[in-house]
Amino acid sequence: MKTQNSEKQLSRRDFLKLSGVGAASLAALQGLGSGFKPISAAAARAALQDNAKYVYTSCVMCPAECGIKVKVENGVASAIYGNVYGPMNTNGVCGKGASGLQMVYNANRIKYPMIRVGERGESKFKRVSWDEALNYIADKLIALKKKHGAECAIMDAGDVTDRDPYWYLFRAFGSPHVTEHGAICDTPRRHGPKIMFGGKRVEPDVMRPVLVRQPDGSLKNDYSYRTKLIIYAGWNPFTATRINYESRGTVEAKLAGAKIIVIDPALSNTATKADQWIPIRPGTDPDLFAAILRYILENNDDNDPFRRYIDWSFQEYSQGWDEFLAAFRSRWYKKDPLNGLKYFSLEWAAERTGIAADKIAELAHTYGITKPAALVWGMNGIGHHYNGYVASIIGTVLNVITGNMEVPGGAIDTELVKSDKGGKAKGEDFVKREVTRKVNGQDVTGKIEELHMDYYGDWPAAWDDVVGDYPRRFLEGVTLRYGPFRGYKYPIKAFFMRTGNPVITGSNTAHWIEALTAKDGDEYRVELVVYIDTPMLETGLYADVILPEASYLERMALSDIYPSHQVIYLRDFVIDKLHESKTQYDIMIALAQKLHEKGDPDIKPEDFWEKFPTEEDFWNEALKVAPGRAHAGVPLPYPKYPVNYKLIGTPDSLESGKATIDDEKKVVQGEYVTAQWLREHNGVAIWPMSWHRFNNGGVLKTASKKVEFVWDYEVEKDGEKKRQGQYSKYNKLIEAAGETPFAIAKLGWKKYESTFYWFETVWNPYTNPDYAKYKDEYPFQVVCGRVHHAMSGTQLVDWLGRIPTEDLWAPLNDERVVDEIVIGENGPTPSGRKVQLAKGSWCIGVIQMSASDGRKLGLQTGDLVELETPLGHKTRGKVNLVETIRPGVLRVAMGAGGRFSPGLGLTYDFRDVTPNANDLTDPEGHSPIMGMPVYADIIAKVKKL
Amino acid sequence: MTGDMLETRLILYRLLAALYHYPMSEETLEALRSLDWQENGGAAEALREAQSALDAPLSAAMLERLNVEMTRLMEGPGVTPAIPYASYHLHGQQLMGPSAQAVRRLYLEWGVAPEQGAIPPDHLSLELGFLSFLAEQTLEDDKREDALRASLVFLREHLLPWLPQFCAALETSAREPFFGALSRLTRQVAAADELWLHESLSGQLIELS
Repeated sequence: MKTQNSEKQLSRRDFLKLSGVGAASLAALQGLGSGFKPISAAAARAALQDNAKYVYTSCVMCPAECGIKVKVENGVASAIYGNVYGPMNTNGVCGKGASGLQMVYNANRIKYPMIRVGERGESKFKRVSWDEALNYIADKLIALKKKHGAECAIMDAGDVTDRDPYWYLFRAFGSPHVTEHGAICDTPRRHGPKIMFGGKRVEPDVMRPVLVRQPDGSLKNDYSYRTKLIIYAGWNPFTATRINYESRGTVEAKLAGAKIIVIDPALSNTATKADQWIPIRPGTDPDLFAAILRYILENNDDNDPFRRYIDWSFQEYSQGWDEFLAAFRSRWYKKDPLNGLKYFSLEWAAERTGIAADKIAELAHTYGITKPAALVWGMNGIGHHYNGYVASIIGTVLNVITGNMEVPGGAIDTELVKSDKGGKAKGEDFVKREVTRKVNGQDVTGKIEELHMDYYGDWPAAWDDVVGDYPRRFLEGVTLRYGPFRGYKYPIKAFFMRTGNPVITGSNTAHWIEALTAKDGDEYRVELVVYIDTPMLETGLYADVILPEASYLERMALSDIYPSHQVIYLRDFVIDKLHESKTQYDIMIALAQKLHEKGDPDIKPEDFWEKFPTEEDFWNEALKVAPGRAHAGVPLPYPKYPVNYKLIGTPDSLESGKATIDDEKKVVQGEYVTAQWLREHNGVAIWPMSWHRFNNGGVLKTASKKVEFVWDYEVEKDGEKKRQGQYSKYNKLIEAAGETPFAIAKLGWKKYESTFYWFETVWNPYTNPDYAKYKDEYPFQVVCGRVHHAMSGTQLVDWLGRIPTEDLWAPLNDERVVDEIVIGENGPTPSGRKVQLAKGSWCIGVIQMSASDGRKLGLQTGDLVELETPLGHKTRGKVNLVETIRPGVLRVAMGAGGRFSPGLGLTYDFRDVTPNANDLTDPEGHSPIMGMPVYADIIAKVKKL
Repeated sequence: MTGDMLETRLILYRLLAALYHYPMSEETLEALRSLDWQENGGAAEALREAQSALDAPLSAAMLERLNVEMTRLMEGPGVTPAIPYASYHLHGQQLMGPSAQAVRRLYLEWGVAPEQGAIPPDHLSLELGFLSFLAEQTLEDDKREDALRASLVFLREHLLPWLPQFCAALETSAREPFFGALSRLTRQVAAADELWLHESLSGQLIELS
């Protein structure tokens, strides 16, 4: 071992003459202690033994939340594998999941509570104790509540589903504003299933294995793929997060004979495995779907087996088809003002989509004739456009009328069939409490939930909140327009952001920053911003308080992501909490205690620490409603139980008959699922799969218990007329108030249309006459892509940064010696260390461009360009000239560029040459029903820099 | 002389462990200020620099400034310039690597465990604290030689392999002169102690018992 000879004037004598230590300071030093405590010999021996173990839990490296098995050696997680018992990923684990230890053991993790000591955005913080941080938050919350009401506080629990403790706390505190990432994910995409089924996401029946009741009464895993055709429109399951089984299942279905068609402006990873790639013009999915529907309606022949597209049995479990059909047909006689062609005709669709008319006819015929099939649309194609609702509705209709919903190998609304979870642990009862507010000088009493800024404000039909429009409300405040508190105004004063990063992903970046830094005098307009997470992302730079949340291997929760039947699995404690991090439960209880101590009247011990003495108690409460779905379908999961009764309890108690049947409530009640039960069963509970679950009501959640083609209708019951349908609630509010929500007023509507409707998307010169003038000056449409492993929170995982993806994340870095950057006293500052990056050694976010467009502009791959929209919004990046994208379209991955949080590793170093898609987003561009940012309705011109 | 030396080591490691344990307290800084080093070696020089970087008497504003700076340098949020974990420097910038496992094992073999269990065991404050624990053992005749040998091994195998890298990062990044001096003091004390332990255990300097 080399000694430190280089040290200046090193001398052993240095040590010999230390003196002058006063008695007081000597005592103080001794009082400091060593930081160690003695432990018994037995305890030390036990701890020294190599005690490797495996723990089943669920991943959070992305929101697919796959079941995983983690090896733990001496208290340290050392390897991550898939959980073979969980059907979502069945032993598989992706590169991102396998690299999770780089997140858990990342040196850049948020380790301690922090309080801001500089201005927002400067990133000057001081480490504080939990007590100080919680006192700060509780004092501020109580003061704000006294002044503005609890509704001035928002808890946005971001992109991981285990948010219930936070929602529970904030609802108990009295705020109706609890939200999560889904609000800025793909709300238009979910619209059709929502209004027609009460569901959310349609996916192909490719989750395998599924546990199925056999004719002999036994339960067996079924591995067979029955799907004959899957059409993915703007949906890229190989790269998108959320539904792991769909990537594997698509390939397996193809091997079993299914045809795969991908409709996408870019050759996505999914398209590379498809039989056919159809590069559509962005924003024209509704046009394509409408043309397919028209083709099917016009060409269906019940007597010709080669043209029997429609399976009329759908009428047994649906209502309102004739009204929908009449509304749809009425439009196809009209002419499109832009091209003079009749709506929904093949020629019309060809003109708009850029897909040849005969191709569209072939696609419609193939879809109509091939059964079972699934038409599946995704967030990029449909969720990110202003008129995605139209496509989502027509897509849903297509799956229903062709007889593909709920048949083996067909399409499944996963929202309707997944296990229930949360129950009372969501805290929904709290927002039913009554409160009084002074409105125009009068005391008005109503429920807390009726103070909701969206549902009773500008977005009455936005059942998933309007996070993308938060900056406007932060700046302008909220005006309630509907319900008992109509006319009431209040400001948004507290914003809690947990596991999300809206500054980069929640619509226009500059608008978010403006909203978070706006001041009234010396005070920030949003007076309290709290950031809770494991990694430090851009939004954290604008926080007043930062709280370290335990990583996903250090906390508990439940997962159940979009399966084809009821499956629920446990997130369990794998390792001890590191640093000073706390779990969601810990934070809920600790903040509740502080609020209670400081006299908040709504936080009561019996709702918190007395009710849930341990974390496991909380999650056991959330499990009490599992699986909670109607006992329905073929083969019937439990032949001994009545059809359509709600099932509650563990799979084994229901199977063995340890259950009671309540005929009055129509519930079959077995033994509650608990965390311990899950732990003893490989971390996962699986109930049997069945199909045809819409028949006789089944799992449908509409008022009529049928598939509804009309969404605001009257029924007569016991001599009384009653409005039903998913839009009826909002239309009643609108009628009572006499005021149309501004976003649908722009469409020329007075209220929500009761059946088929049509409107064009925005910023699209090819389909919307209002924007045709921009066609020549702004010749490119810009759409969002996704780099699975480079999404918001995981860019600091070094391994993943090196892997190219879909021509969006490519090794186009130039050689650089970069300063290591850390948060300095005046913001990001060089640490003094250098990092050398060889050319082409690191992947960065790029602008995907067609090679032919590049040639026309005289560009070469790697050239730096600036994109500019008609509104003057700009971003810059290097072009990647490829054959994998439709000419006239540029693709930029969400969250992959322009990242300015130094904790993100090398991605930060290339922020000046990587594009941030949300620099371009129209800050006022919100789709009219759900308020979703129109991330993909962007046109731009390109300038070489 | 020997007894003085053993106590000196204890005091220095206690003090250094405390200085790297957030937050910096008035008591710790006062204790630092009360030391008087008569020699002119590098460590003594660094100690004097650290002392002169402190206000006299210590003000609340100074303490606040030091803690804000310490937050930026070592605590977070997110990336920090001087990362006080052995594992980060020795094992691919990840925490809880083999070096953390190795020191945990060693602590257990000595029958102790960190009081704050959630902090990775190779945090600088804990490694210095463990050296102070060993220094305490050297005050007892029957444990002295084992503890001294263990101290030398610990310095060579666990602390010194990464300490210079950490101290260089701390010194380069520090905006408050105090932390530059603290960095030099830490490096000098560890290096001097390694030399002293080596010479002592080789029988070149002092009869130990």
